[in-house]
Amino acid sequence: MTLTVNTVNNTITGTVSSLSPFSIGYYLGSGSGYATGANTKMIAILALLAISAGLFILRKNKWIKV
Amino acid sequence: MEAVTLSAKIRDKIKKSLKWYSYPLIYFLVTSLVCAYAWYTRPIPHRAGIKIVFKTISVIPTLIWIGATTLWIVAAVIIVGIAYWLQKRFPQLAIWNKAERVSHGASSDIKAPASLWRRIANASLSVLGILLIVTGLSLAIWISRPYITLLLSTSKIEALENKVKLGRVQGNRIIIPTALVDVPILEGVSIGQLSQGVCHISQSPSPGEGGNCIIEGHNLAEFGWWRPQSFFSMLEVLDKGTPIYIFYGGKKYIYTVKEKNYKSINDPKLYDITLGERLTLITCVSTWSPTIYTNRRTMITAYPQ
Repeated sequence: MTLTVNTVNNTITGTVSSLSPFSIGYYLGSGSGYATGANTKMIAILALLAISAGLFILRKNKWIKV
Repeated sequence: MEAVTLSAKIRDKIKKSLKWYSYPLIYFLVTSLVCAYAWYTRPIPHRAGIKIVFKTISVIPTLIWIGATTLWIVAAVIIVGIAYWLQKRFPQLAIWNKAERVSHGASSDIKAPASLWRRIANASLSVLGILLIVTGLSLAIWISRPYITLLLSTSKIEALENKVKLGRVQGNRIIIPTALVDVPILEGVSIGQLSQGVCHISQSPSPGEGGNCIIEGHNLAEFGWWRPQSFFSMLEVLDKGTPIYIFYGGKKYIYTVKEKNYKSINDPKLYDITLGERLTLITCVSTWSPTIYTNRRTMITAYPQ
């Protein structure tokens, strides 16, 4: 298989010498492909939910009075 | 028994719920004081990032917290209204008698001693509650640690500036004093490399070669509030005009931040190596999508001085 990269039109063209029903093409992304961290907003929400759920359970079990 | 009107019930519910607003307000007060301390204890050129940190850790969480509390109270009032209507519509249901007994404290008189299984269940739930609180606090400290470090480390910024002035830097390194970045630049990107430093994308030109030098790094360290913060945790505080120092191949390169953009990882402009001479720093950016990993990136573009 040969690949042609056109950086002007942002296209990649591939040419194959034979066709196979088992070939699978997928998009690799334009970057390095590695995650460079995590979504802190979602982690903050998870933290808030965990603390709230913990306080709720302890309150129901009469450990704390809020 | 004296009948309680709907408006009285709602008033009572709102009155009891108002105290929940005190928690976000206390949080806002404490975080504002920490930001104010950082603002007044550091020189004017180092204050640029404090506004962004204040917005991120104080204003936005307080507004979300107040909004969530308001939604909670509105939901509680709606439930009270629905329960009132159901009680009027179906007064024969046994649930109302039980609720009345509970609200008048009658249930305590007929309370049977708790069985062994009941006590085990209660103890297990208590342990679960404590575990949830500890987990939540650990997560909160983990993600807020870079902000706290930045706010309370005025001397560290000055130390990094002195290091740049003296130029006693070994190996390839990137130093951004105002964002507390002082980290080795490693060649090529891999999971292992990303945990040890920031990575220069090999396909992009190196500093001084005249093209778009792309460097990427983590915005969050591995889980654990006791671990050091990640290398590009505070890239968000970089503002237009902030200097970035690169020590590469024994030479010093100074860049000035020009733009800060947020792009999808599928955006071809993010890793465009065909552009003219510049430095591009890339790290993950937080979004409101319900995923732990994000497909958006903070992109800092800086030009040589």
